[in-house]
Amino acid sequence: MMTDKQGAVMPNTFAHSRVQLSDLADSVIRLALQEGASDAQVVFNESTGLLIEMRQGRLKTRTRASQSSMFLTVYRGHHQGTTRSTNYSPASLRETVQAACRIAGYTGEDRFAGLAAEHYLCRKSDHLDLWHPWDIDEASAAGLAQRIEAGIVSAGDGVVSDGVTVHSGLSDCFMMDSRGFTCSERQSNHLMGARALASKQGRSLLDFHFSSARQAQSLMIPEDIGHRAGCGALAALDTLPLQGSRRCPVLFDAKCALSLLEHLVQATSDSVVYRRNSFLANRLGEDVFSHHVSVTEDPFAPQGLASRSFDGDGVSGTTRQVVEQGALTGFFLSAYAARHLDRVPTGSGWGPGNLSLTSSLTQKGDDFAAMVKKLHSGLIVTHFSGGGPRLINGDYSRSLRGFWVEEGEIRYAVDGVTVAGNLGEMFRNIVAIGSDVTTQGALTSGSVLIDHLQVAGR
Amino acid sequence: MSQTGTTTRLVQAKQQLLEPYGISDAMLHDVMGRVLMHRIDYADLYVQSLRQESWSMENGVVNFGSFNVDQGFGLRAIEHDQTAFAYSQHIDLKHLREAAKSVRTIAKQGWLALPEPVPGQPEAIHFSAGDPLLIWDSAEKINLLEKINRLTRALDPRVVQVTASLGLSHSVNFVMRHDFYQAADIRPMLLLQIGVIVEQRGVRESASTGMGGRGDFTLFNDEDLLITLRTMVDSALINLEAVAAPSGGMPIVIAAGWPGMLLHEAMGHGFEGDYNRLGTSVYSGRIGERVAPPGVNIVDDGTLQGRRGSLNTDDEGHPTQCTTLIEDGILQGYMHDSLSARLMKLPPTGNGRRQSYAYLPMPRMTNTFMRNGQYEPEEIIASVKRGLFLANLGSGQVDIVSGQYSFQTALAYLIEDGKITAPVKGATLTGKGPETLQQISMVGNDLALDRGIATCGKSGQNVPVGVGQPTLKVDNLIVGGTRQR
Repeated sequence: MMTDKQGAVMPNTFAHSRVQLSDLADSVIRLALQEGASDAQVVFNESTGLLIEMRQGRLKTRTRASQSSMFLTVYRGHHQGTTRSTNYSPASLRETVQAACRIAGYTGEDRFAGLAAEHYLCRKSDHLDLWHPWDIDEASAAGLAQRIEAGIVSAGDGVVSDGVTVHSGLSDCFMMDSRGFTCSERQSNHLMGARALASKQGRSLLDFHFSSARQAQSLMIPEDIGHRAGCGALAALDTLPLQGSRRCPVLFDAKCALSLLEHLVQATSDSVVYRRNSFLANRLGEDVFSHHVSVTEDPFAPQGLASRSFDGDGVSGTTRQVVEQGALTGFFLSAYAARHLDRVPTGSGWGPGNLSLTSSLTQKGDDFAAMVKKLHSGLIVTHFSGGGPRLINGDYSRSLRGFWVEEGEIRYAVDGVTVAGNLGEMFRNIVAIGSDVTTQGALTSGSVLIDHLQVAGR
Repeated sequence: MSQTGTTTRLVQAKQQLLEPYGISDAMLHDVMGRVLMHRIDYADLYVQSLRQESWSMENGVVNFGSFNVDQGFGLRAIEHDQTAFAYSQHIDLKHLREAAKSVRTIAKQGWLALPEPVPGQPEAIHFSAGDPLLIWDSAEKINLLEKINRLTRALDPRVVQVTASLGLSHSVNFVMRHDFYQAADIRPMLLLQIGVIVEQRGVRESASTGMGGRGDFTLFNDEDLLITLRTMVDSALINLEAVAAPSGGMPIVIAAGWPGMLLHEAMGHGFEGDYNRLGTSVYSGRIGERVAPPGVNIVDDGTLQGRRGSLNTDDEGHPTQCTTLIEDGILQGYMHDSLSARLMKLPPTGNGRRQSYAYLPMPRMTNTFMRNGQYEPEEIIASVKRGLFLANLGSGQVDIVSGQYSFQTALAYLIEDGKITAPVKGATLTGKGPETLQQISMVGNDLALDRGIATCGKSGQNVPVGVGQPTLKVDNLIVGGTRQR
């Protein structure tokens, strides 16, 4: 009788090896030049992964992923064409290259289009300690999922799992251009997450928590992830309506404070800058935050979740200050956007490197409880449910849930509340940043206290 | 006619997806047979080829063009409510067999699978199978974008920037179930997205718009194009004059058409079968109950001709249909995929959709809209003493469990003493779906669907949808403006 081994070990091998990718890249570039391209760049991405989703002890889904894709950009002088394909048969590759070259025959002249200048290109890659495969089989992953669920239930009565996730993923990126430049980077990404559902007397509330890391050992303990989600759902279950509308100070908890960094990146990246579609487009060198606030970028932090040796142009970033004592000192620019602005590319074509929002006023003891004392009376934001800034003028309006605070004490949870203001003013009105630092992806911040926003309830 | 359409699609899909790789029906049966060596309740193989083309224009120059080919298969096996899934970009017997071996372990060995009812076929074809990538020469596509630049700039001297992009796609998909039932769909899509920046005395404002659907280039005829562009430019210019939005709860009048996105968020997601099977939706277990005032009728209709959310058969081979969600204020039913239908012992509704072969199907909306009521739009506005008129919305979100939803305004005005007055700046609005439904106090007679630009995101998967509504009044929503009242 044939048997299947339950839970075979996840294969750590990609569909294509580096040698195969290098050969494929070489033939694609050569074809492109034959088809009339003056320059070409090709990027190959490989990924594999195992994803387990469990809900209340049942395996909701188990997915094995394996993907390969090729992204080709060809230039005919300053005319460009791009193609993406997942079919690497010789006939299909030829068609893909021909399509890119044909497109470059139709697109108009764009003097900003072209390969990045050589002196910006990455010189050293695969050295950021990003590669830590996790040899986890399906049964062990399911075991971890059960532990996360145990953590959720341990938060208290009326809390159940609405789904937990264990994911292990690997990727490889190989880039080559027609001027002989190549670079490559292998990365691992692992994640465990929990969605907790708290219910009482017909009311229900969902909260979630997750942990991600390059190395499985760096992930939070599964029970703790579940417990955090469960406690979050339970704490916010009993809401009281916030009456009326007022101006008051607002404390963004660390997770929500990351959104401020995200908006900073949105307002200072690529096309919104050169199209002047952002309230920060003309503000380089000017004070845009209060003087105690700085933002640093480190694309090379070992094992960093947003560490990378190069971006989509093959350009390396630099460790730098983006905001220095309140002044905006840098944008996030791909090679293309940088040419528009006659500036240096910042290696940001695939997003920012590890970014950190800090204040020179932050003391070691400024944990969340201390920040609530500083808030004194006002609103704590723990979840945004919608909205955002309008980048063109900074107008800011969001819906959220959180807690109402009086005399430095949390009084009750609130939901369906809005905050409104102007992002530019909010940046300048940051009063304090907590030492309760959290990181999600590229972004790191403590909780942020902002003086006066318009807060509305029913 | 319909049978011919169905058969033709299946033959065409096989010609394009399977025959080039030497995959015969016998091989498909061999692969499925391997899955069924375990006690599987349901399994399906989905094979897809997607071709996309896009062009974008910035300030008069079409400077970017791309072409994308993606193809592969996804194989899933389900044991009761547990799913195993594997996908690959290699459509060949080796990879199909590997996937079969991987997914069947969701269940123990043995034979269980029973045939499912064979779905009926669509009564009509809801869009042509024509490939928009081939209909027009690239030069004509570029001309269209250049024309948009010229027309937009000609509308007002304050226009300082115009961007536009044209996206075309053609997807061919084939699905085979564990009982060997086969179906296919061939789906074209066109999408035009346009943005404008205006400037007046150093102050800049922006607006964006779009048009699209499962049709051909007649969608972008001069008349409709000009109306769309004019509305967009007007919206940006009006926003130059906008005053601070009020804050707090107030009555809201929501315009017809695209603002139907509010229904999609406030109730549509809550009516999806998966959330109701698990009991997490705020509408769970409420079929037959009054959830809205009499006169409120909401449907999900995947059969509308050429609409962005329309399908012939869904991604599990079920024909789409018009599903009544709310009739005269009473909750009638949910939207299902095969999994939620089977576990809830209800018929499928043709709402099983997936972003691509690399994702699992889920219950998803198609075109969701509210039917006409009896009021003239002017009457509705005149009934409001102090409130807000939402002429256009941005995007929206919802928390299924609490029903709390939000959306952003793109163009809104104050209503004062029954009259539309000053435009207000962008603000987020929020409410609870079940409360909002109960607070719909007037429904207009001017039903309109959106221009074919909506994309719905759920659990990391995006699918094209349609939304729509007549003008309607909600008695109280919370407006997140900056102005203290």
